[in-house]
Amino acid sequence: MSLCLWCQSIYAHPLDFRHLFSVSNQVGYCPQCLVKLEQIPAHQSCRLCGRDLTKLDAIYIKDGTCLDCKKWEEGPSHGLLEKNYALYSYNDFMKEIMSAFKFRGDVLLAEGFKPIVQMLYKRVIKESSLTWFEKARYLFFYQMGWQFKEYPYVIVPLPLSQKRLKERGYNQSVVLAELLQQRIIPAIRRSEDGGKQSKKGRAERLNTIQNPFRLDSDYTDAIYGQCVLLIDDIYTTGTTLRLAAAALKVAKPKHVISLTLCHG
Amino acid sequence: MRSTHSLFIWCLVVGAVFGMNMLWVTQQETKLSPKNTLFQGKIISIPGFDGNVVSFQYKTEDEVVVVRYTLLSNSEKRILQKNLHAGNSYRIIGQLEKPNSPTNFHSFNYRQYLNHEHIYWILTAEKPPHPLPSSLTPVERIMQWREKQIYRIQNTFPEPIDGLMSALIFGDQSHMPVELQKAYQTLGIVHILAVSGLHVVLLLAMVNFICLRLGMIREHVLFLLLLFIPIYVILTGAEASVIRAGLTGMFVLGYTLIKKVHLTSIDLISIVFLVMVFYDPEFLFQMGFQLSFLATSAILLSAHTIHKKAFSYLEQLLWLSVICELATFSILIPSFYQFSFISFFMNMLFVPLMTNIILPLSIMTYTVSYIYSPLSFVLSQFMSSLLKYPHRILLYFYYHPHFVLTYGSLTPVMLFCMVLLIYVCLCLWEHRLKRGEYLLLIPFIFMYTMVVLSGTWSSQGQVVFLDVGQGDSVLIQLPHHRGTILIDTGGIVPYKTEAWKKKKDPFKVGRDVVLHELRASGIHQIDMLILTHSDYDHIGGVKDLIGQIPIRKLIISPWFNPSTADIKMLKQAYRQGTKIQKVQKGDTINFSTYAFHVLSPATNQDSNNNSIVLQTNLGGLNWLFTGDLEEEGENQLTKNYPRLSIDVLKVGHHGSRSSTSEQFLNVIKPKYAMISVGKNNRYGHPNQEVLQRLSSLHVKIMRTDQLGAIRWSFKNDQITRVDFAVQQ
Repeated sequence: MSLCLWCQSIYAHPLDFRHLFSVSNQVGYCPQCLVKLEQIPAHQSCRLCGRDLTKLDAIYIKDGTCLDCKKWEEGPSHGLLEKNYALYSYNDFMKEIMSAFKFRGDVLLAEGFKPIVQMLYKRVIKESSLTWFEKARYLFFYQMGWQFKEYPYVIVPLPLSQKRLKERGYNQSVVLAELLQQRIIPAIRRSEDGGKQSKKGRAERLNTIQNPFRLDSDYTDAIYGQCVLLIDDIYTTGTTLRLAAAALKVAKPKHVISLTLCHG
Repeated sequence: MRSTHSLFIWCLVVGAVFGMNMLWVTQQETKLSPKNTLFQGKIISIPGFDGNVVSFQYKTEDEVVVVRYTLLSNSEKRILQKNLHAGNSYRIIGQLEKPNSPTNFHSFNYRQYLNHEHIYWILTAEKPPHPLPSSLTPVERIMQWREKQIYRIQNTFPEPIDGLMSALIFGDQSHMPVELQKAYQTLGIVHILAVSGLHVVLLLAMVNFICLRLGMIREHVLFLLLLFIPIYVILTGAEASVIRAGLTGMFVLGYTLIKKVHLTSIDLISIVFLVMVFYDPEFLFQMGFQLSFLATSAILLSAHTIHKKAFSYLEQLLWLSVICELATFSILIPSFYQFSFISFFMNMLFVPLMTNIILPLSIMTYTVSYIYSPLSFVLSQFMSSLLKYPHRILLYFYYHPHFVLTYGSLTPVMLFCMVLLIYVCLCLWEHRLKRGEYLLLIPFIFMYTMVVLSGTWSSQGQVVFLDVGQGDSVLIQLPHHRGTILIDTGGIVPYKTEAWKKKKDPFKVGRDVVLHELRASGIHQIDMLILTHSDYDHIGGVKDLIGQIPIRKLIISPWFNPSTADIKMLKQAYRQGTKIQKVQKGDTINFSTYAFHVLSPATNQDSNNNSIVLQTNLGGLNWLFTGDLEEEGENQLTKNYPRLSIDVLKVGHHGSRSSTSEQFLNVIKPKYAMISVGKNNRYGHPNQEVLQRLSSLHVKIMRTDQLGAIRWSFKNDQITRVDFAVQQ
């Protein structure tokens, strides 16, 4: 029995064999609210940005990617961000949740996504270029909740500027990254720039010239030659994540991928 | 973290409370002793009349005992049928005896079974119970009404509808035709006959509907239902499954009344479980309780997944029956040793039929019989015609066991692995997005492979002298599955009895001992069945084996003298694919490196002396199996084989005086003498003279009437151990 994080109704997920012996003190959303969230099917998402392709007309899809990604691949920032994983489509319900989570201080809302974010992380490991043995080892360690000596990914949440962090009190990307229960490397800093990304239009975002992100030089060694997993709340056009990836490029990571809660 | 800690502490507290409850509070020891012979008390179960025996549970001042009384005449039976009722008080004079403990390695432990129901004695009444004046409590009134209804159903409706109706409505399965009930049991659909949650829900819904229609307030109806459930539980015999369903129903109603509490179905069933176990820890050992809870919780745990994976009703039913079989596997296999794949399909056929048609119909028929009996007669005819072909199919598969895997009695380690494997497979199945039905079949097949392989790898062989009462039956299992040899099958000589004395399901030694032990040992075929000679106490059990277990080869002597019944039996065996081979002196039967030498008969003599005599070497010892060979035959044997030396002798003719002559013993010089003989048999076997002859030669005697079944285990050229079924 638990209270839904969103609608406060009492609900119980049906107990099944897998969870028979586990202590469940997780918080989450009730089935009614979960239905309203649109989960992106793994095998029908864009190869590059993780967008739900079922919601896209066939003319905007080419070789399993959306045309937006095609454009990115043809542009100058080609290859900066290898792939993005996204969990949910950014529908109206998700918008409400995100605004409560980001702007109204309801941090606990993120906790409800913990199991599914962890599942997505396991998928990331499964689809990585590691050998099967390493994958199995990492997955097993992760499942058991043990910490690795070396990590398959360096997890880097996107930062907020000092000013915004002070206003909000927390960084939503860090909150999401903490759900993974892995070591977090805050390798990127954000300079005090003007305006929230969410207040800008598409053209404005795509045309951002000056990169607000820069690498924290303390972490150059941690990034060098590693696979980096950027964490953010939402992938809209992909500009922010690519800017962050560009900032990391100085430290020569092996490659950079990203994981976001929503896409849209 | 805090909640994990508190959960852990709660578990410890609950465990400690239950442990103390089990150790000190509910632990019961018997207060009675065999010195007591006069008892006053109440009958607490419906008296069961079976042939010339009546038995019932009887509550004395101290504790419950099982009373047995052997009826002297049919008129006495009729009088007692009229006078013995549950709830009434009686005075009984008789002797207390301990319930039988098993005399074969795998036979049903009746003593343990009764002990788990807090019954420690069987009272054999000397005279018919003498009624005493007594007043009835409300519970007893309900019990008497139930008894009357069951009696009424039996007298009103035709077979097998009467049995089905009393099972479905009043939870009394004892009036089902025997074979039908066994078929329901072996084919895994006996759960349909048990009163369970479905009935409770159905009934509550009906009462609820009627009361609301009558204009009662919802809360009042709930109260009424709360009162009604306990009555219904008593009315249906208060078996574990009914109590479970009833308690669950009461909890649901209770918290609907309170409105504040929210419980999931799994919470509910756990609470009911705790309540029942706290009330009586012995519940844990009762099969009905185990099955009921395991199956229900498996259904609850899988309901969500099944709903996701299966769309049609039949498909869901199939999934459910597979999951229930998996959940109850660890309970059913140790007592039935077999699993039939037909049971899935039987479930698909019978569950919809029984729950949707027969159950409502039988409730209707029963109610209508009070109002307008001709209509109820028509309805019952309709029911029996509905069930005619399904029952035929059921009986066909009961008599022709196809698609059956014999697991035998699994070792605790194997059982544990099995449970683990089942759980893992269920989790994987649940995890898979696609259907993945094969995952659910893996445990059945994997475990069977393990059983077969472990038998093939094992270098241990066994010679088991089964306790078949007065008769002979020796089971030899060679190492590495090289062969299964059965020498004789036991048999109870039938004698004519009057119709009223006939038991509903008389004990059959071939089925209840030999076949049972074969299955328990995981044997799925007999490679060689040797019938030493045609006496009934050696071959009487064969007819119970034919058709139930494949027999590759049947071996008789050329002078085997069959009766007409035996010829019929041999023909039937032949039709089932058994080769019949005749052997006599000088023949050798080979099983890879093991040789069985036939030493006798050489010529045609009388029946006993025509016995096939086998000599073999197992585990470094020389064995001689003599059948019913008598002095004459022994003399001839020693004449033909003057240098025969034997370690283990199966004493001829159950230790009769006419066998085992001194001269014979002097030649073969056995070290061990095995006597297969019935307790208190009417022939006076084994004869004292024979016992003296043996002990004067320092031969160690082992008797099945004293030790129960005797098992010699051997490995290579070594006897590793000798076990006895009766604990010394």
